[in-house]
Amino acid sequence: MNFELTDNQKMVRNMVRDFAENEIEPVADELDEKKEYPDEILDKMSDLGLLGIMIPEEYDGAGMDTVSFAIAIEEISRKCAATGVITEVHNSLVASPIVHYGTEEQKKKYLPMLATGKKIGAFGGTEPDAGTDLGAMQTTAEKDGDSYIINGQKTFITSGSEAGIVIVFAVTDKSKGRKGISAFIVESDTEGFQVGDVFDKLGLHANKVSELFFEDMEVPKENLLGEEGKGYKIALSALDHGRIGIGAQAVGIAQAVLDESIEYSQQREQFGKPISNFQAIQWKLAEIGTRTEAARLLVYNAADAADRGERFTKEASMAKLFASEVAMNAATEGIQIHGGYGYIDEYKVEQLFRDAKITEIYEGTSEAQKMVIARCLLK
Amino acid sequence: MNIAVCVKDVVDVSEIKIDEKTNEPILEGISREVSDIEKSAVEEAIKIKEEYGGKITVLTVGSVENMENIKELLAMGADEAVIISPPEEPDYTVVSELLAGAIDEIGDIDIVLCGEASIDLFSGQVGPRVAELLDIPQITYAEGLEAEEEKIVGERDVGGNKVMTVESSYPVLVTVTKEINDPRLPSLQEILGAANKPINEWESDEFMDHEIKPTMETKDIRGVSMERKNIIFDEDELEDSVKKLAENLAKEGLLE
Amino acid sequence: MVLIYSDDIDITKELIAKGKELADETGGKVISTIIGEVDEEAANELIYHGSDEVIVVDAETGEFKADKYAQVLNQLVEKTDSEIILIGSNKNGKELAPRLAVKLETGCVTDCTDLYFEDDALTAERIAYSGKAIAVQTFTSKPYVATIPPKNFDPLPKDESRQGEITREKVEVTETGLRIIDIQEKEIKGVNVEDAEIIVSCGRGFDNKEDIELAEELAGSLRGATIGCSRPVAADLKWLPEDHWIGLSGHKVKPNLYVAIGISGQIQHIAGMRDSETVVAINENEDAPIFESADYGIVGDLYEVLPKLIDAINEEKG
Repeated sequence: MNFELTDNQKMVRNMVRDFAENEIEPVADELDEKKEYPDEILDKMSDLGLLGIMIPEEYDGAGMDTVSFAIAIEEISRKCAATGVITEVHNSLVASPIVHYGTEEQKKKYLPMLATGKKIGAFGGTEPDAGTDLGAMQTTAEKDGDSYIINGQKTFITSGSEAGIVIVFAVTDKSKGRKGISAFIVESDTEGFQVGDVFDKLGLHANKVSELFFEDMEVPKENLLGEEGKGYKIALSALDHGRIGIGAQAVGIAQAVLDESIEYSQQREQFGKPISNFQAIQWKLAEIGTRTEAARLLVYNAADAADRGERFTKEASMAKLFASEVAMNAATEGIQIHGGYGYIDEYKVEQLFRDAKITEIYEGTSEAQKMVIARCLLK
Repeated sequence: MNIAVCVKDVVDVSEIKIDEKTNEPILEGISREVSDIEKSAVEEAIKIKEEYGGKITVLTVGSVENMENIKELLAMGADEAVIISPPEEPDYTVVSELLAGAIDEIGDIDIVLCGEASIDLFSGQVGPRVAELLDIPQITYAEGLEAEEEKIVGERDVGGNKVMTVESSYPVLVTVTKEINDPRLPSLQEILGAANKPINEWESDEFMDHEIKPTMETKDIRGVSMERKNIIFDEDELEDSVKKLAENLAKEGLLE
Repeated sequence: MVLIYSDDIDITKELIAKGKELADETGGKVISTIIGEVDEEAANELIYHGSDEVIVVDAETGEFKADKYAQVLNQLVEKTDSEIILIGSNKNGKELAPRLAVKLETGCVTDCTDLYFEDDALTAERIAYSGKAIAVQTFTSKPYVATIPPKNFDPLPKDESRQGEITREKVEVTETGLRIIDIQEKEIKGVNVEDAEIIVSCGRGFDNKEDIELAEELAGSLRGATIGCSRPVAADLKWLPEDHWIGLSGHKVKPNLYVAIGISGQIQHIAGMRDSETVVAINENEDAPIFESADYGIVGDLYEVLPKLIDAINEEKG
């Protein structure tokens, strides 16, 4: 049992932390305020290999392990949770399925584009009536000669309006239920691909989350990812990786709350002394710190299991469930520590509070995680 | 161009707090780093190598608690690292002698790069000492550097808002300020690549031909109270108040 | 003997004062060095300010180069049998002293804030860890080489009745591979408050945008300090661009000197400047919270205080 990160993992942490402090932090508030997508940051991240963290080197990626991926997402999210989720989706929900299920041609064509940031990736799973219940998917793909014709709509798609490559899930055989779902690699300039509304949201303002519409969108059969009917399996496997990423994002948010709360409590004075001298505040800090550390260990545990090649569905769900609740709780308590100042937008905790909530919802709600965990436990 | 860069793995001074009871700086649990000034020296070495080729060797004296900090310099673009274990409690003399000895041992070095000072004690002695030991010219406090085939041109911050342009033949020692560049971050690919670059550990008796003895002893490091002085100058005449303020600022060396 | 050298005559005078104190303990004289072309009067000045002897080294030695001047001083140390060598801690002095120490095979302490004998060994204090600590270092070797920053010790009062020997020395040096090409005033680049060493910061106490010139004038007296401001001046009134804004949502700064003028000191502002080394506050409201975060304060109308302060600073600088 070894709880120490490897030198490489520490270097990743130091590098991403430096990058986040110097390149993300100075613009994060403005991106949030103006609801701007972090194009420039993503551009710089691609130079550092952060858009192809787990993509093998032969496809221009960095070929790093899942623990390094989690560390990177945590450090990015600590300074901008929106950039964190964009990066997380791109790496784990888009690049990883192509790495694991793509043909050699697909890998050669798409992975370098993703790794170098020429195209940002999005994951087209959720539909208006198919969220947690992906099996209720309505989007269809009909085989037509050498192509599939895709019709339908997706919603709540991270980077939806910005992505160049979207993995679209669609029903190829309705009679087979979940086993009739297939995954397609779709380029956003394909005819029939349309971006619908870009939503105004509670938090993660710098992330563009949108609807996508597909109208008689013709996708060549070479873009089928895996085999026909493998879509549901691909989605679940991608989401296992994704949950490690969201867990890491939540840890980043919780850590940011802790950073902000420590700094504030040491400088804010009441009754003639810093409020960090009061036990009421100390206990809150101790609790946020302990929970954040526990969440981080669960995330590392899941990532390490993935790197060892073990099944990690349960571990990933536990990490995501726990870390997202830790982040939300930390944000609530962080605002409490800040008092009235925590409720105004000049202090970072206000944004962290808005950003934290979604971690309990996307890539599987807390309730869905509990279903997954229970299923694993009762097996 | 063969370049040696001298660096030090130090505590992150911004994290240091003073123990109110013992009045000592708390150094335990503080993260360690190679300071940005020294990373700028490495960055400058990489730029020169990109233009002229050659090899960059990073040298450090002392136990390295965080090997990833040295590996990071290799990931940035240095080719090799040498970690020299000193006799106990090295002072400026010992560190400089070991560095100069190691540079001699490597041989054929055109440029020695250092930070203007290490961020912890900020003495700025090692650069000039190494230059003297190697009997080569030095360009200190360089905030601009242009290597040419036969000579190197540096812009030195000489204080008083003045910049001096100097040129030197090779070999030369240059100490840089952090204004000289923004050190690059290594990419993930470069981080992985650094794993294959050699890190050599040298014992001093393996390459030093003479014994070296410290010339200084650090007896104490005590904390400085960070409390504000809260002195309000309230003389009868405003002229006297401002005069006292000006005098105090002068005493603190702030009016140079 | 105590040997003194700085290329800045004002620093030399300060070093003489400290050297005298040390010479009184060790017995011996204070010998000041001037390298390069000087008139008689400059040498006399040093005698008047307490130097027992002055050595003027031939002008042929040429302009300052650390490796060459180290050769000069090395020979003078030998010649005068000096035990203590004090060098001014400007950039030149700091690149010279360690080279000299190597030649003398001895220890050196740069930027000493204090220097005294303890248990028969010269002991030096210097700032460490970015001003958070003082390091106390003792020499275990001789002679002692130390550099002392400007304004650390007061020069002795001028006494024109003092007499001392002024000798001229010719010193052989070997030329080095270094050549000085040019010396120029630095261009002032765009505002970067985060790296500024001195910041003069303006708040709501200013009545209008034009009056910020007053702060700029003060900045001019303070080594061309950088102008900063509080939130209202940048964000609400837009008198200054946002790159001047210091505070939680603006820039966080840690200059050696932070002068807050007409800034009340809201917690968000304090968060941006609390790491400043020395803080001066000027505000007409004596209850303004900025005074709690200040080392020095003057309560008064900034329009009265600033012109007088500028005069006082210029006078202090001489």
